[in-house]
Amino acid sequence: MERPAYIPLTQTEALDPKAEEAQLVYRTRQGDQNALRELVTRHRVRLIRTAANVLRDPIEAEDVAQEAFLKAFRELYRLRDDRAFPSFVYRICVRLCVDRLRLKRAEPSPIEPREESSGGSIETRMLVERLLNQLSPDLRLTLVLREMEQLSYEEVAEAMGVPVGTVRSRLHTARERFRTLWILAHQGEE
Amino acid sequence: MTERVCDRFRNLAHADEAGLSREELTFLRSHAGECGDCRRYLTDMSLLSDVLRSLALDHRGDHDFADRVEESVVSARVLDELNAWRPAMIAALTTAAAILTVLHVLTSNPARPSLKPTETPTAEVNVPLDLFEDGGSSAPTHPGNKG
Repeated sequence: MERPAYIPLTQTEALDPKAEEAQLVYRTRQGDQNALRELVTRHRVRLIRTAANVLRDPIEAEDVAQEAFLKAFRELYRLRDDRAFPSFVYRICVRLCVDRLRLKRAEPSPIEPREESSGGSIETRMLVERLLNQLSPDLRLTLVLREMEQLSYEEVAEAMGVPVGTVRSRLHTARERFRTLWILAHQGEE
Repeated sequence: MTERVCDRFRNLAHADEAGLSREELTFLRSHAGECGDCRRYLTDMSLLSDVLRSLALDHRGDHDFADRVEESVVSARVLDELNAWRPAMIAALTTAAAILTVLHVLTSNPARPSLKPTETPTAEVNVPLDLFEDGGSSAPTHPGNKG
């Protein structure tokens, strides 16, 4: 027997964003492209922004975000609670970013200045990117998620799939290392 | 200042402030007031934090991003796979349930064959009595026929 295209939301569910999210995931599972598009529209900004900050490359960030959505939809069967789709797709995106960082570390390439983007002089931005490149992927990701994305320790832990204690110790190490590199870089300039 | 106290300070300086106790917060404040190195350390950390935050990119992607994702999902036939997966899963679950039911019936039946030594065989062997010379008085008795 054919299932209905979607189950109408009750009044309470309509007010609950998580229930709405679950409804969209349910409809996507049924093959509804409008629901799929709505999920992408809802979460794309967060995924692209995080990937851009981690990878420091807006074009690559879009590639990774697109890959993350594709992988998330392909692996929807692994999602036990449909309301958890936002963290599910975000975790996939973060993992793909780490994979890219590991590949980049294996094949180091010179950093080129980029004209677009936010505040900070080009020199500072280039220096920060150079220093971030010297951190291991896990340390870099922890630092970026906490400092640039301003996630809480719990949110970083969830995104990276590690305990909060691990986040705390990685953050400590990352900041210490970044500070040392920063001081060395400025001593070199003098 | 002892190294241990400064280590404690630096460890706590990286913790989430919301998760610190009142005693720890007081320690942070008082030690920063006493130790020049740790005060500088805290200033450095705060500066680096500000630098990183100021360099955060706010890239939101092209307008056609959703189109591209949709296209890639359609061309990879992801939605078809999702729909194909559901009946396959239902079939697998039904089969598993059937197997479990059969196993349950087999293991819970009291008349099932068993090798337990306490049980006695219920089948009897009828041996014609005229096979024995004395008319059956010395015929071996089956344990089940005792009495």
